[in-house]
Amino acid sequence: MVHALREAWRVLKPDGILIDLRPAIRHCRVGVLRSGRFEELGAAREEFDGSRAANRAVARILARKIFRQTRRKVFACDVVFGSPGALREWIGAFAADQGSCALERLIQRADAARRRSRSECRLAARVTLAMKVFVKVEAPGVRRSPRTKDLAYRPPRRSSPAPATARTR
Amino acid sequence: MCPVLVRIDPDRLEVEALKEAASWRTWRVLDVGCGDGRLSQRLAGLGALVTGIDPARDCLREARECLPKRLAARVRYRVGDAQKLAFPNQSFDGVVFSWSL
Repeated sequence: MVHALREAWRVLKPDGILIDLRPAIRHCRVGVLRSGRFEELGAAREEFDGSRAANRAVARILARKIFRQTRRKVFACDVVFGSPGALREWIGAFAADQGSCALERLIQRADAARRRSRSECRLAARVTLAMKVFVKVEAPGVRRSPRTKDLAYRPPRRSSPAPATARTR
Repeated sequence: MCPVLVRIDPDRLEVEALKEAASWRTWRVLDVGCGDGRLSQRLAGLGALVTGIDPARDCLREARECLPKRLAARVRYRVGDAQKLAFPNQSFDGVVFSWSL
């Protein structure tokens, strides 16, 4: 992840911005969306390790002062599903309790609530997202590490057979 | 025709948040891990010229199929790895990691 952020730094113009948008908390709430209102029926537990690793990577690039955070916004985002299968697949992609009975019961409950409803009602998940905005910092005083130099862009090489000396080694 | 089985952020709150972050118009933006291109399309709708990269070819195929014609000139998709970006130095005004970091 740190490599990805360093690459982002490299391809950004001076004062360019980096946006990190991802779930802020580990529970996504599952329910139904009825007349534009979200009715919660339960929560699925997301995998948390990826988030922690991403946080560590962001902390590292901030410590190196190649980016400066300028803004943070937290907001709720709904995800609407056309079928219970779509909800199952989507949650399964990141839920720690993937395939568990509790999760399956939650999906079934949400689907039953949708079918019972007389007004228009859709299966939904509500995720709390955090958007962080970072500005690229060009710090002439900061010595570039050898690794930063290694990441300098090189156009892709045309494939050519390796020299004979290399092959015989 | 794109099957809509999952619709993320129908209220477009993500777009509102992005609007607050930058002006986007005529910006060159890299959408890292673009997936089905949902955010690339939204950024293009704000006037940005977007390059979406993702390692999954299937996702990119879907993204290309779902790209509306009015945005076709503003969005392009490429197979790519976030850890080794095949772009020259200082070539983008913005880089977005949406659910991909």
